[in-house]
Amino acid sequence: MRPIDRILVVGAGPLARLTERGIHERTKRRAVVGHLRLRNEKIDARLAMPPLGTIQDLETILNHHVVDEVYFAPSSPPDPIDMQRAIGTCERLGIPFAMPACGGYRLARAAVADRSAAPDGYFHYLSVRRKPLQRALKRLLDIVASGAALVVLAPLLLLAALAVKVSSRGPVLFGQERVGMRGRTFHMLKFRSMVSNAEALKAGLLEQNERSGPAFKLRNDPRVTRVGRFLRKYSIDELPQLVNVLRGEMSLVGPRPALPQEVAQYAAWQRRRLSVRPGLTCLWQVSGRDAVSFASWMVLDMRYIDHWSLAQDLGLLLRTVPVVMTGRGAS
Amino acid sequence: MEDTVRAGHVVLVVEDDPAVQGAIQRGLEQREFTVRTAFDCRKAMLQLEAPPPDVVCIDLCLPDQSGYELCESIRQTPSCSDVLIVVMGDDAFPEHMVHAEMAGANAFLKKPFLMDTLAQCIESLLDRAPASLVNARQLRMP
Repeated sequence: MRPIDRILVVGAGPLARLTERGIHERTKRRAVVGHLRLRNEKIDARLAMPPLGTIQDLETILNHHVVDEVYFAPSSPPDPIDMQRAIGTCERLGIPFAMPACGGYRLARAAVADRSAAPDGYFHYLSVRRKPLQRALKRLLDIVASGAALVVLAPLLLLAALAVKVSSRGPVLFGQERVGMRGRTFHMLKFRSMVSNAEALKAGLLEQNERSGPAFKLRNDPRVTRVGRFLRKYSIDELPQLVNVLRGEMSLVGPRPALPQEVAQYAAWQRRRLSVRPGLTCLWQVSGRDAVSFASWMVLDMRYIDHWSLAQDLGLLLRTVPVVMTGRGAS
Repeated sequence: MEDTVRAGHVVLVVEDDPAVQGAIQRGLEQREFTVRTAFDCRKAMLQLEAPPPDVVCIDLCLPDQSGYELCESIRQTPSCSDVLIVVMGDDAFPEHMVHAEMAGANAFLKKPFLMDTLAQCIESLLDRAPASLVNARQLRMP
């Protein structure tokens, strides 16, 4: 089931309090997880929880907490420079935000012309095109295709599992903590392709890292087993992620989910990767894979996110097949 | 059940739509409230002179002034400082509720509403006056 939407309210006055109550009364699917006080704003005594900080802390808070939408609920006219900066932060991180539909004014007779535009008294803004039908179809495709693939590939998966089991000591599957949509972490499944104490050995190999930026990759990583090398060459080690797709933690197409320590080093604009579901394949995977630098990899992911369409996803899926089949680009 | 308790409480209904005003009046009278009515703010202020009602139900959109302004006028009238105010509006955005609260209202009711909802709202205000701003949705699930 989809996790509950976590809402951050910028404001700690009466409007913030009534907005929080309104959100909780409308649905149980959304929860206010914190407030940020505006500069010079008086904290409402009846606010459910003390503010986490001020509006200037927005970027830090968004970098360290899972937030699905930011509501701007200032109880007095906010500082325009603070507001512009906060909105810029939401845009850069790709986090949806909402602004009061009456603009802070007292309206007795006038009302929003299109009431459906402000269902809860707020106008909602997204940094990506919504395309609701295409998004629904994408999720449907994820469920149907990953389910079917798991059935069709069952013999191959069993064979791979057996090979991993008999060739080296340790578990068959390896669940690595990765960062998913909006910074939610999940366990990404892989067939184990390394020796079972690989993480412990990584520290000694860091200086040989062949990829620029925070990601880590080594062409002839000594921790990879012989079976592992074969599974990796044909990306068979990634197939258990079809289960992650079925669970809704991943999609067939989307930016590859990063490790938490990689995300911690992201620049603000790179965090926009977290505004969509991570995927099995993306632009980067069909662009020569490991030959692409970290910076251009990020740019490719942003291009994917900003120009997303279902047709592009289908195209990428088709282009991924030959890349995987030939083992091209994989280490 | 509570009708006997409520009997005698006076409610002033300030609503410019005759059909809505009539419906509210009938509904409240069936529940043993004594109802007075006004179509605009000027008439409402006259009705508020001695003796003041226990509760005033105010439509936000009135012909001469806004419901918010009427709330403020009531709060500035010393003899009416204890009067309970229910504001009724077509939209119940958090912003509307903030302004109603600042103007001195005790409850906000989104239109359209059921007569039972209004009666419950008034009764809960009478029970725990001075009440905080409440709305129909909250009252339906106590």
